[in-house]
Amino acid sequence: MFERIIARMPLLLMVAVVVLTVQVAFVQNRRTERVVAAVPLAIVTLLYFRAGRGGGGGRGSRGRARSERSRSEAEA
Amino acid sequence: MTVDHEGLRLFLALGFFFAGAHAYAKLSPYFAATWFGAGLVFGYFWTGRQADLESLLTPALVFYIAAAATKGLVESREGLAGNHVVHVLFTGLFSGIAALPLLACAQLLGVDLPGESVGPAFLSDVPASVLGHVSPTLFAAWVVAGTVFYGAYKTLDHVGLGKPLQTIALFVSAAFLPQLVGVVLGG
Repeated sequence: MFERIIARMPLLLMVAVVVLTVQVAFVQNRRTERVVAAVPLAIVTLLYFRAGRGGGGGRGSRGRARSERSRSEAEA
Repeated sequence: MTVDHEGLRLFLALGFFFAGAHAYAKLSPYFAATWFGAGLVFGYFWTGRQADLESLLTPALVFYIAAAATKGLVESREGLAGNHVVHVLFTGLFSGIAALPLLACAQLLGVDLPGESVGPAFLSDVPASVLGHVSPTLFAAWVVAGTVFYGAYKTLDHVGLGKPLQTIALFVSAAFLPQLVGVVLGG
């Protein structure tokens, strides 16, 4: 369990930083314009997750696994 | 739940620890020790030798998140797999992107994070609202810092020194890299 969490740590850290910013900027201080600072990281986090680097395999990794499977089937 | 100065410190300390645990488990104990050790040295000298916890921990954490994002998004692409220059440049860019929200939080909580207040003149024309009211100069400083740190790490990793000598060179160079950041930014 702990190893699975550690394997996903970069993704979890990125999500945590975005959540922290929303908490501090929007929830606590109502400074919506400050939340803009987290938008680029949120986009990078989404791209990272889609690339299947979350540790558990996002949509990207599933797609890649499918294409690798179909390639090996075609080679066979 | 309210996050204050101490809450941000706790967040950075936990982030630093778990990022280190990831490096230790997924890469190697040597990598974890040298990356985060050199990051602490870098943070210490970047803030003019202020040993604030947040100043010490933030650079290594931000650069690690950036390097992980680069590994996931850039290094895994077939065409860019062996291109170290592109990896270093993207790590720099992602360092700026990862630092932005932390800088915004720190400013709201009245916490000082490392960064340069000087930079190229054209950056003063960029409206701060684009970056969530974080100074474009500060963003540029983190981009340059990430580029310089990862560039030095990669260079020493590939230059062919033995591990003991490489470690010494990395820790010594980490003390001077903040000055290089200032030179690049024109400070």
